[in-house]
Amino acid sequence: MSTEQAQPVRSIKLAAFFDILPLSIAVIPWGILCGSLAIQVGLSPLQSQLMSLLVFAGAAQLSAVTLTGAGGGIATILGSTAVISSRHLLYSATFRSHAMGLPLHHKMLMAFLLTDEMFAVTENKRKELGYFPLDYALISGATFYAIWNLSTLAGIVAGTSIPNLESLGLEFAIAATFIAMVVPNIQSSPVLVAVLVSACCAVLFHKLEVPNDLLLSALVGMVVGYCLDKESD
Amino acid sequence: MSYDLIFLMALITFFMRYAFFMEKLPVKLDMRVQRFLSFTAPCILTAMAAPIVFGEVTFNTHDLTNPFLLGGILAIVLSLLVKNTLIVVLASMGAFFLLKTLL
Repeated sequence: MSTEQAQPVRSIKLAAFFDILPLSIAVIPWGILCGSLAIQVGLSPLQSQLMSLLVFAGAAQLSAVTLTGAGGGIATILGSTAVISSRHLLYSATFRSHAMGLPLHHKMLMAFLLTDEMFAVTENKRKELGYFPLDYALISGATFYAIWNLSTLAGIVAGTSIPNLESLGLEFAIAATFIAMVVPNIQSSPVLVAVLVSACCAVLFHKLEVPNDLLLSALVGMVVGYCLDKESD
Repeated sequence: MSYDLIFLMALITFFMRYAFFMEKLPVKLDMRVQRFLSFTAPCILTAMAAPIVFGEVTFNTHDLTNPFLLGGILAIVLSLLVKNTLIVVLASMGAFFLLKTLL
């Protein structure tokens, strides 16, 4: 869109901040949970914070902390980290052509900040603008990083004083956020079918406890969407 | 948990995010692959959200008091009507916690 391309740089930076804000708010309870659980299973406050500062991957961190609490070994923890994070390979592949040619420090920073949330808002913005907005990616990623680390800190400070935080149904915040991101962007029938197929597979694989159900159900939807997209040419 | 383990976890997550940014990686993503990858965002986000909303569906009257299902459907409907992500997220979370308390 030509009007979008004329957007001044500052408004893209502001948009990056405001677009990631609802997703950052939805992740606050998870950060608190992650920090307080880490303390509860015996990590030091510094270790608990370092996990958010360096690993910066909510699902992988929560699973590592839970496994530590259950007495899981190093191999189990690293294995689950790899499996849970493997979806990021797809994000990295999706942004590959845009990352090529960037200076090393930009590529590394972009990779470090590449979460589900940053990927989702940046991919939306890229489609809207027609080009890859690097500033937008870095600012939305950094905003999310700051809020994730502050909410982990809150959990570390609160420590054990939050009873049954896990049972409150916090995962709904994640679901609501992703629904609000996906639904408005379904603008063709291949995308609609791909999304429906992914949803059905995800529920089915989840019930059948299929290993790596998340990645598998996303891939099935992607293949179906791609095939329909080809046919409609 | 040791510091080493935290650093190893950090290395793994970073590698997954950086892998395809490596110029030397001997793969070329042509237009077909790029078109395939354009389905990544909607499919992965959906695959994460769907089991949370529909995971406990039982196809009987229990569904009428399931805050995850009702809140999820509300979020879908609101997303179709309202363009603002923040409003959709806050309204459906508010409805979810209200339903959870009432039902």
